[in-house]
Amino acid sequence: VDSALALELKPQLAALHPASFAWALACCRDDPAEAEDVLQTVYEKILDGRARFEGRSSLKTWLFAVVRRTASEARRRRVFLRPWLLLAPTERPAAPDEEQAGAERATRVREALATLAARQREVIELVFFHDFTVEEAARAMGVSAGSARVHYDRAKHRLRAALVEVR
Amino acid sequence: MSLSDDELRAELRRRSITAPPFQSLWSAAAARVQRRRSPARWIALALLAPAAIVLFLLFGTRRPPPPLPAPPTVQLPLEGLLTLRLDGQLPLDGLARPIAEPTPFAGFDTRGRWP
Repeated sequence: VDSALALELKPQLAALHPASFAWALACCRDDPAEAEDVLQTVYEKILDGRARFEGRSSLKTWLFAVVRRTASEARRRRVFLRPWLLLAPTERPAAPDEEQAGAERATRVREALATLAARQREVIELVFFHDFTVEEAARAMGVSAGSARVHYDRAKHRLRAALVEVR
Repeated sequence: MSLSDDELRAELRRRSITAPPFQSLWSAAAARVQRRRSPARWIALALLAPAAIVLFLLFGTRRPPPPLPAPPTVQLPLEGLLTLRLDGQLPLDGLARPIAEPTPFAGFDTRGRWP
């Protein structure tokens, strides 16, 4: 099944896998099961040629853009099939390692991130967690660099406020 | 007290995320692609598609019959009107309602009779 290009990319994709999963998690509102489905779909797209890396950006930027697009497609499909989910509050199951002592800070950060708008959360994840520049983040998010910069500044401002509040 | 960018970055990186194994997701994706490309799938599609088209042509294009046309408006026959005016009688057979008082017009008296 593996196309030549996909085979060529496989080691690099494997190296990027933990970061890709973290990004998928951020795109899926911290739902690990959904993030896993999304990432599997991304690999499927790469294998069957629906997502093709053409070298116009770094592999990581391209991969993250595919993850983001796939996550939003999955979200649209889910809302179309089960519109009542829009009304239900999104509860994220606590990860086992977060239940241990010292996980309070992680929870706090997660809660602070949850207060941000989707675009703000995405840009802050990409820049702070994945070491993207704002321009690379803009490319991965499919927005202009100026727009990404505005989201980034607003996100930092709100995140600071949220984290200082609980300190 | 405000947090610097580095502190914010450090706070965000405190989260620990455990990713599922790459190989399992990759293999599952490859299996799905394989299934999608399998000849059995295409054969089934080749058989089902014409059947679906035939079914659509047979049943899908049926429309409910158009509504019946409205009954034609009954026109007052000219000769009937003339007859009525001339003999001053009630309308002829087939007319919907009697005309009690014919409208006078030139050449007739108020009862519709020729003077």
